[in-house]
Amino acid sequence: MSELLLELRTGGLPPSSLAGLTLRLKNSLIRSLRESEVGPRQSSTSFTGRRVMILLRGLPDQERGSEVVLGPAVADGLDERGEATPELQAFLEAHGIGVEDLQTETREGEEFLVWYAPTGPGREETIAAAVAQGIAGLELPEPMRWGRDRGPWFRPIEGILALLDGETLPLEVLGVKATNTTVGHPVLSPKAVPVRSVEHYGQLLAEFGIEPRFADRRSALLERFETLARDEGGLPQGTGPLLDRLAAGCECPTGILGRFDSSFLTLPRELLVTALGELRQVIAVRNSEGELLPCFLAVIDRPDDPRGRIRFGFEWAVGGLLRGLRDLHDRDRLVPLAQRVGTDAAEEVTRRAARLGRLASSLAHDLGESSGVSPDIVSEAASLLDADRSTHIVRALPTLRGVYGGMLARSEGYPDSVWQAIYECGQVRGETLPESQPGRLVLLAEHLDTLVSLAELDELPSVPERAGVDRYGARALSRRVVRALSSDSLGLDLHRVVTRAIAARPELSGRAPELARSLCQLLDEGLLAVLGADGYSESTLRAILDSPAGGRQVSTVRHRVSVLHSLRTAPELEDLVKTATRLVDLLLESTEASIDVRMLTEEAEKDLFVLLSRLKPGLEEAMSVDDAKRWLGLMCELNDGVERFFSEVLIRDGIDSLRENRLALIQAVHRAYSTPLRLAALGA
Amino acid sequence: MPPATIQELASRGTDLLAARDCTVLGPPRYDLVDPLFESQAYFRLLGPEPWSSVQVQRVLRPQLADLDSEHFPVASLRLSALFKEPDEPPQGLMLDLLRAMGFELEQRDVRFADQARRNAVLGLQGVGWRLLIDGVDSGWLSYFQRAASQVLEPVTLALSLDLERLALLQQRSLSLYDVDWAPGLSYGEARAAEEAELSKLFGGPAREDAEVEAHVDEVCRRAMELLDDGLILEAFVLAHEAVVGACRRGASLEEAAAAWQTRVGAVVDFCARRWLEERRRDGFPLSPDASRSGVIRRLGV
Repeated sequence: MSELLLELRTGGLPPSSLAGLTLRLKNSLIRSLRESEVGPRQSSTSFTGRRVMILLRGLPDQERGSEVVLGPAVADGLDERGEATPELQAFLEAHGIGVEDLQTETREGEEFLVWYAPTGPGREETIAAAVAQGIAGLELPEPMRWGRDRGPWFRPIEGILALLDGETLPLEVLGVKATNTTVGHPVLSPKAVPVRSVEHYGQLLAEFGIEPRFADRRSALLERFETLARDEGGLPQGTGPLLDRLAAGCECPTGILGRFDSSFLTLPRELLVTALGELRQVIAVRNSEGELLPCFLAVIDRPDDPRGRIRFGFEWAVGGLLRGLRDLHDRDRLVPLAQRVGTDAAEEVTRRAARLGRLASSLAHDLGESSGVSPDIVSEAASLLDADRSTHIVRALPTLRGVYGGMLARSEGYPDSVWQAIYECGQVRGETLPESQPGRLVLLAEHLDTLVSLAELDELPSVPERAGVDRYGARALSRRVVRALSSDSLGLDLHRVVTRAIAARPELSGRAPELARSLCQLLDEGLLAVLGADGYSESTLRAILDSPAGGRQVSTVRHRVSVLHSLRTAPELEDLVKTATRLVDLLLESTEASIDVRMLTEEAEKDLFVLLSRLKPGLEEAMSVDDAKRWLGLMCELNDGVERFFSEVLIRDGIDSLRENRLALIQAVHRAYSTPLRLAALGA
Repeated sequence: MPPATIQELASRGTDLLAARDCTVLGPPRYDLVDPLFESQAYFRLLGPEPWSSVQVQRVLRPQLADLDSEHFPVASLRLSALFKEPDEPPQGLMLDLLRAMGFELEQRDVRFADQARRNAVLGLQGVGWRLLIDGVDSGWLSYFQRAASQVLEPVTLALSLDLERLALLQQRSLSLYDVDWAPGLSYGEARAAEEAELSKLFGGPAREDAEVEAHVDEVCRRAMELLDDGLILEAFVLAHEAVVGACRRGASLEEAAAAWQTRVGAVVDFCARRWLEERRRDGFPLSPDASRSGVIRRLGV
């Protein structure tokens, strides 16, 4: 079988997209090759900041079909000197070929000149066309053009190495012609070198000092950083995503250590670490007590720093950054936070601050005194939440939003619970939530207020006009609201908090029902998503959420879901679900009515009424104390009575008043099958 | 080779780019808030005519006005160039340029970090790289795909180098003020007084929004009047003045762009379209004969 080595060289790829781009390119190539019936059996990939490498093995090595075109006999086609006779010349001209394309075949004892005419494109051409299609056809975000009529592609392709079984593949894509050469480091080994095979390619990369595997680059860098930091009596601070980015974006990396003036260590730790990482892509160093040291670790994309010039450059860049940060931090501290959302702020900022304060306060009131959350505290924290947006530091480092505000609040002497709540809101990333109750309540107020704003602008994905399009991340916000309300200590009803959030915006009172509807729908979707992620099926969740007893206290819903989930394997449940579905069908067109006991004429319906009255308190109690088995036993007892009723009583017979009274009885029974969980939903 | 002064870097870079068919443009009429907010450069982006150019410019960075000027001067001396339909790999060109300027690249860490370049006022969308030499942000290069409301045909490669930082790296000077501008003349001696004025001009507390708005409105109105008179380049100069004026009134460049990009951007857009119309009417006279008809057909002229 054949193997194809492909190397796409570009000027510099964004580190964060390299892994995804490589994978998508490989998939696109394989898909395209398979469509041309020359798909590989194995594939492997790697990437550096300047090249993507794909090795495809197990491609078919047979030429595609050909047919035999019979030429003249050898004796007629070649003269004594072995040169083509006029007869053979005519044959060659007719097919546009030369003598070198001919072979001989013996037929009935006589030797003929034959030409194996390909019936379609050859194997190489087929593979080349499929590879070109796989590269050019890759769907890319914001593709770019470059040079003279080149592109569009993700980034300019500077060169392609395409080697099929050691030979150059005749490939041209997006105006770039493939060769059998590669290059090394753009400065240290820029000369194109021919590649003979996959093994030779690996040797060349090693000679160039290029490490093609991301994981190996990362571990080598980490080891180097740990050694450098250890020599200073410390260790690298926070190497996670930053080290990933640094390792992805280079190809012959090593680490160096630089220093800065120790006076900069008076800057807040969070500020220093974040600025070094985000604005200079270097890693801070801390000692075993967690204190930062006046040095940093940087990645360089070459094997050494022969004259210390590189270290000088990094130190100058870091020193300048820290001086700038200190200036900005000093200036930011001159303006109190309250002023930033008050007299100094634009009208909308002031209004939002007041709104957040009111909303957080009303939510704290709803929690009650027993929660220990002070409405005044959360109101103050929520109203200051956006104050750091206008600071120079947050403008330069947006990821410090909240964290920086919390730090400023601490230095301005706000109570611990106030500054911590602001600080914790700034630390929220992805699934995480603030640890403290005030922090969660402030975050809740902020998210709810944002969701109301999106609802006001008809930008919620739950609004029909948006057709599920979520341009502003409303779904993620709704899931975080649900998670914030999941703790027992923050047991507020989802729909109730929506009402509170809308009430905090008196100017929206005219649209309140409509906004509440779309917000509640979005939060219900969020609830389904959060609980669904715990492994509950949608029908189980719907059985609880669609129950008229409903309620959206997240901890209660979660509890009910878990109870029902524990019953899902009980064989009796199936009968209950069938009955529930029948009840729903019967009541499809009925209107709400009350039971007249005197009109219950048949024994089975009288017995059902009595049974229902007897079992009802027990059912409610069983569910309220989580006694699922008892609830199931009582429901089975009720189910027997319902089945007898269905078998002995003709509901639609008799006079209208009797029929309506029986439907009223069924409605009452249906309530038991729908509250606190809607059994019919389990049949969906 | 001894470390280069700032003026040597400017002349060596200009010489190399001139040898690569760039026209050496005259100096801009004013300090720029973006290397491409310059009439000689910006309008060369538009249309098919293959003019490549190089220019030494002074670029203003009002947002740095309150920072330490030894690291972050408000005015930065740049070597900026445009290439229409460049055939050679752009990073190779940049490396050649650095070598010509005297950098021993074998001892440096030269990196190209992916960077999208956008300027809402100029309607610029570019994809390219930041140039990092030894960890110091020293310039950029970008393939511009759009300018104003026009898809650029062909795309244009633009590059810009920070001459002061390049000199600092070569001279290993800790302070920008100690860098040699010319033999016997330091950057501080040449520019400190001016830098102090610029810091004062662009720094300090923010002014009232209404005042800035009135300024932008007035300048844009005048620019549109000039455009009505057929003075495209002059209208463009006024659009630039609107942004600089907004910055002077206390807003940073980004804020100015965000707040007034629609109004100033509209003026720039009108200028670009009018310019392109006029060049079309003239049949894009600087296009090579061989490509002109194809280009004109593609553009639907």
